[in-house]
Amino acid sequence: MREIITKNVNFGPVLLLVVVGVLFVASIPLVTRVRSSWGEVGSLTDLVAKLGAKRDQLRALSTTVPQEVTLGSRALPERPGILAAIARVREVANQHGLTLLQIQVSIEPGSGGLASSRIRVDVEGAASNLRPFLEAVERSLPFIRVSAGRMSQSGGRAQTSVTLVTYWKNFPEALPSIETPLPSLTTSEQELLSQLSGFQGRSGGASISPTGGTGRPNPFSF
Amino acid sequence: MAITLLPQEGGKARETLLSKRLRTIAFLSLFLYIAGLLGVGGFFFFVTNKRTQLTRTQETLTTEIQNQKLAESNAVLLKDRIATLQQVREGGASFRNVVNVTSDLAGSEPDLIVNDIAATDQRVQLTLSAADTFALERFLSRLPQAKSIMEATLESVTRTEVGEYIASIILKLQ
Repeated sequence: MREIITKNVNFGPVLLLVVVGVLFVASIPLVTRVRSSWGEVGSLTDLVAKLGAKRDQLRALSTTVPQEVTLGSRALPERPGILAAIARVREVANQHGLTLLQIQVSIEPGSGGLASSRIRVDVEGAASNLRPFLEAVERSLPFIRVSAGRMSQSGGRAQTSVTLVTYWKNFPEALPSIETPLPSLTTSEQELLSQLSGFQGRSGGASISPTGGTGRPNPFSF
Repeated sequence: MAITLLPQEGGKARETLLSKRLRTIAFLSLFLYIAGLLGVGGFFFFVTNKRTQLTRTQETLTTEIQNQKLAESNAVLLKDRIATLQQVREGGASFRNVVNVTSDLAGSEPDLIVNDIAATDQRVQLTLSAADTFALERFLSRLPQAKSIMEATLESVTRTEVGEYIASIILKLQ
């Protein structure tokens, strides 16, 4: 009976089909692996493109940035620039023939790492010199904003009381991840940067001395 | 009931045909499998090579970027400083601008003098002395031309003994 069945039914092609089917099923992990590798290649290509662009930007920057960084750090220092700001205001007032009457400083705790100090300055002099004085103050390093004020004039003489604000902020402590593109300045920020290059700081090494002081320069020298 | 297991005449021919077709399908499937396997294998080889190459490039670029840490920290610092300063500058009107605007407006009026300007971030109080009400009116009519002034309110007008007019004006800035 068995011989009769074996003789009349050919199992070869069926067996081959079964084997091919098993092979197809067995190849599924390989195909999955190829697909995931292809995905990795795609993400790696993107990453390499990003890194390449960043490398090129860094190469272009490395020669030009330091001056601008110095300028930016002078405009917004890491530590309070109150004394530098006061010295600069005194210098500007002298340049414009104005008399400094009073200076008061108050420090304000900042938000988001930005801190500021308010300097109230009272000056007196020719009314025509007050505008150039304010313009020169606002073109100073560290950055000074004339936030509020009172100006009164009579007979060509003017007296002004202005509130100047200087700012400082801690330097960033960590670099962003390597994939993060290099930060670029917006158009308005670039304009500000080019304006800052025309700003002036206190002339080198000028020391601050109290105005109108009459005491002995050195109390130990008789 | 009896079942005949012996081959029938017509059945034998059908079985042969079926067997042939199965064999063809089986070989075709095997051929397709081998071709597919070769294709997938070749592609896998290409992908692996490409991945290795990209990984190497990535490592090189990472090293190059890390070597330029100073330039990157400079760029980050510059952005931080300038963006903060920009925010500060846009934070409020400057007293200098107020002085400039009011002085320019008053400057074109010879019979009018700005006696006092008191400004906070958004509010300005002006005290003017005018030779006559026409000068004051001309000054007030020019105020809306200044872009930075949002609103101007005449608070008070007083005539002094010498005949001049002292006006107090409140300006709201944009």
